Amino acid sequence: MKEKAIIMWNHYRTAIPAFLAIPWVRGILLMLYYLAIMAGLLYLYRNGDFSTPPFVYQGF
Amino acid sequence: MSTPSSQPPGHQPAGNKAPTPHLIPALAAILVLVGAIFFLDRVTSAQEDQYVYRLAHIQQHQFAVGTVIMQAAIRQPDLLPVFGSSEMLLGASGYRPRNFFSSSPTGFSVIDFSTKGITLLNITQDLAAIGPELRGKKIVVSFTPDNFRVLEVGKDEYAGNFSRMHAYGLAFSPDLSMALKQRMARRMLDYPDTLSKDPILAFALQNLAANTLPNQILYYLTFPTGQLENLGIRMQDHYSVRHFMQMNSSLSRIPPLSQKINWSDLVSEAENQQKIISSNNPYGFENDAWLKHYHDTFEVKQPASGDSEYLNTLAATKEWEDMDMLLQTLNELGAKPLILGRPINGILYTAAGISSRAQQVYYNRIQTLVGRYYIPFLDFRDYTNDRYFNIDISHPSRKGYAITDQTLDAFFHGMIK
Repeated sequence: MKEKAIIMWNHYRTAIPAFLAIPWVRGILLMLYYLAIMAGLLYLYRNGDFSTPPFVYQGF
Repeated sequence: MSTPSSQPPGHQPAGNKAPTPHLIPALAAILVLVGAIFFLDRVTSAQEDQYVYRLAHIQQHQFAVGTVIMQAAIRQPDLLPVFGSSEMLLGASGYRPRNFFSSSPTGFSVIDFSTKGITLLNITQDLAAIGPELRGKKIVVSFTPDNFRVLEVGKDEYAGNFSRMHAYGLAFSPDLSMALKQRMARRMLDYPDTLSKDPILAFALQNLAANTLPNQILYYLTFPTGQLENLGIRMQDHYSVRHFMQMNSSLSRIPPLSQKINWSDLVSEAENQQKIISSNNPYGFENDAWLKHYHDTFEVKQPASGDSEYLNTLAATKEWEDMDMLLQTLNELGAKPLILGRPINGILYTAAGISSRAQQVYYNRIQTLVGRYYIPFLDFRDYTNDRYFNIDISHPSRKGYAITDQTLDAFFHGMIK
């Protein structure tokens, strides 16, 4: 069991970086990275400033 | 030296690295984001089309300073949007159009975007921000003669009703002529406090107002940024409305209830009610208001003693320019408006020393101005000396509202052209 785990670990230790090095994979991951930043900014600034200065109507 | 066949798959030999590895993913992310925003805009607009009926009988700050609910209202064939001021909001609650038409008695409801103290300059920006959705649509713009008794609207009134969303919508509108935007910019720059939080807006308005070629170039250079800002604020408006919808999910539409209304009976009944509560003075003030506010201080002036000051103010007030720009905006956007004025309270004006002759100067001038645009215009001037039309200098009584309701009904059903 332990030997099987070591074999799997060694396999993924080389396979994952190799996968990530594929240009189109890197491109998609970068795109998702930028999307996450933009989504975070959108969430932070979701509330707009629609306030107006206080104004007491005097026209009675 | 290693050969290409011994390299791990996907490995790029040194010297073959993409020069800008982040550019395409960044551009792709931007494209996806823009697509998502447009999709969200469509989806939330469709939801607002359903929700807007629940909002027709309530007043909420966000709906007056935002645009998405205004646009949703305009898209509905059985909602009549009204833009006005306190003359739509104060007194006689049962007769106020928003309440009177809440159950769509004659096939439509009024959705009232009026706010107290709003100026013609504010309303013009509201309409500009709504944009081409106004084309072919019926709306009502309401005002009173009192607007023209001051040289210029007060800073507090303008700022208190200022909407940065609407201001951006006007400044960066692709639908209005440059000449109109320039005129509006010059007026908006008269209130610099409202622009202090928005350097892009201020910059655009300054360049619009300057009207030289270099300034126009600078304005157009800021146009894409302004449009982006417009888009951002619009999404914030969607979010605010959605948040309101979630917090007020119990709000429901008032079920439509068709009624046959005898308008002359309604107006008579309103007048009879008004006579009872405006019986202790000859000016039409309601009894409580007369006793509390006017009884000790009201002073009758010499006939025509106030004409000179009134006529000087009338000649010099910037409200004519503001009204002209409002009418031009409606024209350029292709709206089908009713311009709804109110009668001068002739009894009060006369008591204040402003003669009928001077009052007529106002009527003539407003008629001429609106007439240039071939827009339906009513101001109920026949009620100038009707004691029971107004409860004070500019706010309608029960009778005044009943007549207003009758007029809105006639307009909606195409009987006023």
